[in-house]
Amino acid sequence: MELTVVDRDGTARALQAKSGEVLMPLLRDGIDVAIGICGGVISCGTCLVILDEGWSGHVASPSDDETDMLEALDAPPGARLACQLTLSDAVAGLRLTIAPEA
Amino acid sequence: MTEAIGSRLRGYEDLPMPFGWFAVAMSDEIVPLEVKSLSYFGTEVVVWRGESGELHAVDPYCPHLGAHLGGGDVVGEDLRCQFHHWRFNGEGGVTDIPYAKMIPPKLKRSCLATWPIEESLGVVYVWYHPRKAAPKWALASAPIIAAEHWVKAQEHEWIIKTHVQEITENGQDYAHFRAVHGTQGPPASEFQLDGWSRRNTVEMQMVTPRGPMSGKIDALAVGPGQSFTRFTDVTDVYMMQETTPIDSGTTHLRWQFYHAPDMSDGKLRVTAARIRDLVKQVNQDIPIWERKRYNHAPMLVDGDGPVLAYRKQYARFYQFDDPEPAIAAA
Ligand code: FES
Ligand code: FES
Ligand SMILES: [Fe+2]
Repeated sequence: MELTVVDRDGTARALQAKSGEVLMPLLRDGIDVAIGICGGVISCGTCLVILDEGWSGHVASPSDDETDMLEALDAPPGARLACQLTLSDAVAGLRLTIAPEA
Repeated sequence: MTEAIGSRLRGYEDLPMPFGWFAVAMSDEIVPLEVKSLSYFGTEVVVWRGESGELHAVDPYCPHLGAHLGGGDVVGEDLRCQFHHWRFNGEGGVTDIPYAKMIPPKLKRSCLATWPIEESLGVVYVWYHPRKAAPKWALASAPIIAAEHWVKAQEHEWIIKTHVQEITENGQDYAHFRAVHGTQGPPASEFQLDGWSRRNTVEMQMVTPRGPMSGKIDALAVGPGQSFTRFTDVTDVYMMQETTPIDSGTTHLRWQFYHAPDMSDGKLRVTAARIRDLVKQVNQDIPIWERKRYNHAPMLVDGDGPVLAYRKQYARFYQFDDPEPAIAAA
């Protein structure tokens, strides 16, 4: 499937992904090595992304740990930690923005 | 488990370390703002005293990049890791990361394993359980000492190459008293098991500077790590004993002696002799403990003490997956 990622410079880029993959490593390896510093244990917040409106319902809702982190980061609506998002066919065509550095 | 024939193994390989409250330091060994790394239970416990005087205990390695927290320092009430200056509170939660914009909520709650720690009558204890289960009984103490203003007489300690279970088993081994300690004949005794504690009441002949005399020994053991023994004869002596595994073949033994208040000079001399005699006795036992093996199926005969009843109770301290509900420490 193909996703559209808007990076920190505002450039939209196409990203190839497979169902079952976790989003964070794709962003780290394909976009910016500063994404996903903690490796996905919800202790860095560097993998924050904002899903375009309408997409939140297509992914599993956040765990308590993720919710706490989103709150601590003052994250806007539609924000998620990419390390907690496992892609499925339901998100084919998803468009998301990498959050600006805190 | 059978005894290995012709082997020099001493049997401790088969014995795990029991869970319970164990002494790990004397209170005055950890002053405020000091960090100590204490080697017990086959691992290390990092203990610090905050500026409030309260003690805290955590696992040795920093969850960040693994520095040994024993090399850290105390800032206010918190422990600061020397490697990147993260600070931790007594709940194992991160209170400061000097270079990060925020402390992740999960780390703030707790990310470093802690140990229940308490002190009583000048002794520092932690609760050890290999699965980190919460304390199953409250730390025991000797209320009579404070209530009646008993006087601290002496402290002693030994590091002994034996398993922790062997030292308290010695008290149930009645037949060795005559052979090893030269006391007069096998003692008449009473032995009671009650939950996590064990009481031995022994009427026996004791050697005193004035010749043999009968006395009473009332010993209460709570868990595998604490015993309180009162020796009443011409004098009245209270002994606190703590046995703590350093590893499964090494034990730290500590004694603190107290005597009743307002004793005459004569009684004080008898007290000192009594303590000297107890120290002499353990020094007679130690060389035997350090070379003996643990017989899982000992050949016991009429006249031996309640060794097997003792072991049966002690086996509870190895039931690490005990479904029994854990109770909070008092
Ligand atoms: S990678 Fe650290 S929070 Fe997602
Ligand atoms: S290893 Fe302890 S603060 Fe980094
Ligand atoms: Fe003995």
